[in-house]
Amino acid sequence: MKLRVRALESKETLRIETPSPSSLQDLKNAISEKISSLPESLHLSLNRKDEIPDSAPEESLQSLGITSGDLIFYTLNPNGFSRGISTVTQQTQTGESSQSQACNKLSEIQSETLNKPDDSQTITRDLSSGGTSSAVSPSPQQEEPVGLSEDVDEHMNEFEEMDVDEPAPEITRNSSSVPSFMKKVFKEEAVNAGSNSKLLIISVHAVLLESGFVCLDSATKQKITSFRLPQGWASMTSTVCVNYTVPDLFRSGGEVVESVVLKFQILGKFVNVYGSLARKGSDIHALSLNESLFMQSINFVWTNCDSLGAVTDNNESAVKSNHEKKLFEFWKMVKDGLTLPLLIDLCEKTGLVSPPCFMLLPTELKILILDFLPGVDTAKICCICSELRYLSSNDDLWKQKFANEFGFSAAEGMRGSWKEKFAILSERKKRRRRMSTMRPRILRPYPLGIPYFPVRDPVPSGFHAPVGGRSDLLPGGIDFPGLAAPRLLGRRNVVTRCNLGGFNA
Amino acid sequence: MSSTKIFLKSSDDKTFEIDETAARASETLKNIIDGGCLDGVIPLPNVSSNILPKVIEYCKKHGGDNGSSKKIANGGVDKDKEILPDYDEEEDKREKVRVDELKKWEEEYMDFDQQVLYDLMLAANYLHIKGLLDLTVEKAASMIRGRTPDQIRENFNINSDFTPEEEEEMILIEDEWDDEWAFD
Repeated sequence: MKLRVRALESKETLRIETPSPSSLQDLKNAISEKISSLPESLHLSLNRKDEIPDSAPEESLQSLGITSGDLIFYTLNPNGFSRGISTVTQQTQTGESSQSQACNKLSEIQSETLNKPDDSQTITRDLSSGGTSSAVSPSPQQEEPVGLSEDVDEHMNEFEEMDVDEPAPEITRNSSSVPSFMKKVFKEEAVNAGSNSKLLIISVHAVLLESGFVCLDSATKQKITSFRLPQGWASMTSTVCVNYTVPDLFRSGGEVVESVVLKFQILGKFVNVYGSLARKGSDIHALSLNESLFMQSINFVWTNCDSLGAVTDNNESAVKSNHEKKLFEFWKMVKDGLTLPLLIDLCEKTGLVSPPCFMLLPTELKILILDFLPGVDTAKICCICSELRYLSSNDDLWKQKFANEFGFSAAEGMRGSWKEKFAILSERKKRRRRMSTMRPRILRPYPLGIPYFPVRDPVPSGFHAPVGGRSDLLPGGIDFPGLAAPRLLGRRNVVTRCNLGGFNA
Repeated sequence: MSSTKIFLKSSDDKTFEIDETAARASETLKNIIDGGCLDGVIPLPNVSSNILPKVIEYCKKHGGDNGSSKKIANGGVDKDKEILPDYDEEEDKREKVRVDELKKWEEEYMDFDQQVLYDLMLAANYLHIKGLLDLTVEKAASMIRGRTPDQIRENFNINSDFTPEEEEEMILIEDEWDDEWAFD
């Protein structure tokens, strides 16, 4: 088994290979050999807070929750880690309260071990400038996913310290909280994170939890209070099915009003996720996740699960922030493609207050968004739904669009609504564009006054009538919209019809 | 520069701190400050603690130098040249660097999912932070530009409420406008 071992004080990392299976004692022997000290004086920890109990030195490393690739902290200081926790650390960390205890412990350790606070500050700054990365900072408060980047972070921390009522900050839905939230979920599901696709499923699970969903145990219909997935999910072959709901949908008797089902289908390098409501039929929201795109970054976070602030140089921090960017991309993709649509469906069907979504924005904001669109896109907006059709046919809106794109003077002598005028002029403009895209084709053969016959073209383009009208008869470079009319006239009729359609609303 | 601290309370009763100069980026907060109604903490019942730090981050970047955001809105530095006849070229360069830096910052700042986008848009609207409102609205508009109605529906989770007949009509309209820039 290959392991990385890091000194708590100096943060120096060693790579160690132990025979498999091996016991805790074997590991201690291996480390003491490397750092030339006595195995008895070594203290080990997985999360650098709680010591791995040495009550059973003969027990295998696997049974203690240590797997290949893990990072293990050691110290010679007998008080470096807290003792007295007899179980493996992963299991002690369920729920918010023990988290905050751990956090407090960590801050004690921090104050002892970080004798150069200035250095650690610099590292934080470097990281922040490289992207969203507050979670990797060594400051104890930032272990909780409250942080924003840069100064807001410092700001909040200052304040959190003043806030006596709430020593443990809540989980806030925030961009830079992504890696640290994921780490928490990974830690609890560490036993099942055997393969890439499983790790990817756990990652999606993390996004669901962070979006406010709770996981349901399909057998007992009870909610799972920790960050874990239902028992036995990892043993399901090709398709994994998981139920989720939101806390508001629990009836007093423990009955669940409605839930959503996620189906994970593993197809080679792809994990397809299908989400829909469990009872009332709804649209299926599908997402296809490519392992090769995200696995490197997810694995990075996973293998560094326990090393919170262990950044030693700028190079490492750059790699870290790069991975975190990628991870955030994944996060966004799952949120926008899966959790938000599911949450909207769920709330719509059960009458709960829906999360903010486009259609629930106040009308003034929707109109403002339309203001920012070019005319063509505004015209298409009217095909989406009746409310948007109504909003996008406002004549003042079109008047403004007309002025922006053509100027008021162009409207002289034109009749009809502003949208109609806009349609007519944009049709003319389109026609001109069409002419100008053809011109080079006509001109190209004679750049030097010598006729040019491309070999692979059956009809040399100089004599070939290109698409549309009689433009082949025209000298290049001069715009004769009137002459090019025959084919295009038909199109103008079509546009007028379109216009009327838009206005029947 | 004065650094009077102002305390803002989110809808879920969390208090955040902001410099007065930064808070002035928000019309609403500015009016409260200027109106002298400053009574310790300003409650913001429409902004949650998820979004408030993000808003504060924006105000910190933009508060106190209202000029710069205006310049960007006017399409860069050219306008200033006309106003100031003795325009310094060095100053021009510095300004350009600053604008570029700000653009880069905005790009990173605006990297979030849709839910945050709407929350932030609503907060900017409520607090009257013009620059932030423009940024968020522009982001929403960019998610519409050049897409087909179907793509937009999927993107924003909108269900079509048209009758089958209307639906057909819509498809026609869509096709006409779709042809529009086919030659681009």
